[in-house]
Amino acid sequence: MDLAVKTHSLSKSFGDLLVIRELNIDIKRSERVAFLGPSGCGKTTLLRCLSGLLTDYSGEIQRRYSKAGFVFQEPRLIPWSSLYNNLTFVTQDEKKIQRSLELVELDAFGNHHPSKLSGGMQQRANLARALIVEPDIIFFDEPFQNLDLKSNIKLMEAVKRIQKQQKWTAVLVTHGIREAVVFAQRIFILSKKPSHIIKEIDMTQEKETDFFSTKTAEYEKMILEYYE
Amino acid sequence: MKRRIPDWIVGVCLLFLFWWILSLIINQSLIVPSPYEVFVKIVEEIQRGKLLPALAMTFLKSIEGLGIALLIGTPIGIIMGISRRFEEWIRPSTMVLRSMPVVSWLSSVIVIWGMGWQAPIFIIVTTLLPLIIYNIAQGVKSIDVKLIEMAHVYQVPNARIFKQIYLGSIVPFLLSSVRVSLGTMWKVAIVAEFMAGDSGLGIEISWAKFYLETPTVFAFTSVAVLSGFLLEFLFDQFISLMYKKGYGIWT
Repeated sequence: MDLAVKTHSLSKSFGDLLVIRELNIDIKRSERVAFLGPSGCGKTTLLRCLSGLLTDYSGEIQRRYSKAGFVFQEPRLIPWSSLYNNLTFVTQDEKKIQRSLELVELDAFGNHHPSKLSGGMQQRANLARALIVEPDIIFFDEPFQNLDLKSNIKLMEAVKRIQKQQKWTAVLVTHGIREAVVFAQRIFILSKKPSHIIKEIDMTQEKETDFFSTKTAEYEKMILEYYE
Repeated sequence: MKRRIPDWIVGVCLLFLFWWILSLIINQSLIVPSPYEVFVKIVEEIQRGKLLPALAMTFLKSIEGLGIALLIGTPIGIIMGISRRFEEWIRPSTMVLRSMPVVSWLSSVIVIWGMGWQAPIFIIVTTLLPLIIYNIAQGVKSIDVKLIEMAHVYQVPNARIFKQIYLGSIVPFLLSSVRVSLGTMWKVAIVAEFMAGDSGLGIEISWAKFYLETPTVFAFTSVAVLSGFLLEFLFDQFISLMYKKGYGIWT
């Protein structure tokens, strides 16, 4: 099996507080996976461990990718720089910048400063910055959380469309059940702290799930039961 | 619709009214000359060719002092903002600089350079330095650590992080230092010229005081105050122009 990330007995504590307990996960290349769990269960901590932003964990993580992008929960754009300059901050390659902006449909907004962009556009800029490094994997830390439904759907469609074209691995953490159902090919449901996987759902047999379909609603109902 | 007189014009009129009433009550131009007398004196001093060169000299010294203070203070402020240890090393010196009265410098400065242009510049630099250092250090400390983390995630070179995040973050603090410095430097320059200078508004005020020409003291002082206001006004205009052009989104 061609893996992008593999963990073995991954645990993470902050002082005496055990946040993640003994996680064993395999994430395949070009796969879209989502970690779903209640607020404060340690999803972001898990993502930071998987991406290497946190290194003081116990257990093992094998990262079998070379280039990673990160779509943060908040856009983290440099407020005094234009969108274009926010991207030149990461790379000076104009072609890559142009291509990324086109992919997220922001090519007409290169000269705009972040404050002039809507929340959804800022998150697409956040995605453009991740795409610029031509990643093998992108980590998504609840990128849809602060968006209205319309922007949320638009961003998710953009992510899925580009992921299908470019075939990078996508790892999403979220507490939005519908987002996870629509986005992922595999969903891991995490328990409350200390976090461990209580259910793995394979979505690969499902046809394209829609945000408002009855199938999505059924999944939502089923997943909610695990929360309780 | 009836147009309202701007409040600042009302304020200026009130100021002149108080001044005028005070001069009428005291009725001695040796103590408080009237606004009219002072205005006439300003015109006379301009015609005598004394006022404008003095103004230019004070302006040049002030700008030089500010420039030197920025050149020295900005890097020190940046390092102070980054390194807690360096901040502790520098803090006592900056505290002494901040609390030291202008006159305390003068005896040493006069011994070193005598009466001349160096003393006012030196005193402007020592007065502005702690203000600039603290402001810049504050700017560096206010940097969003999430932006720095983002930069590390994308392995952005340190030089670019410094240029785009660190310098970008300190710009508003740098501008506010300059804004505050403009008023302070002007006052300090005139005091330093008064005591150890050889040219400028301060020395003209000193001579006028020596000969008890109070209207001349008021004339030069009024010009100094007006020039200070004008300088701050022009700086504010410059900032808002930058903002409109999109260079100063941080403001």
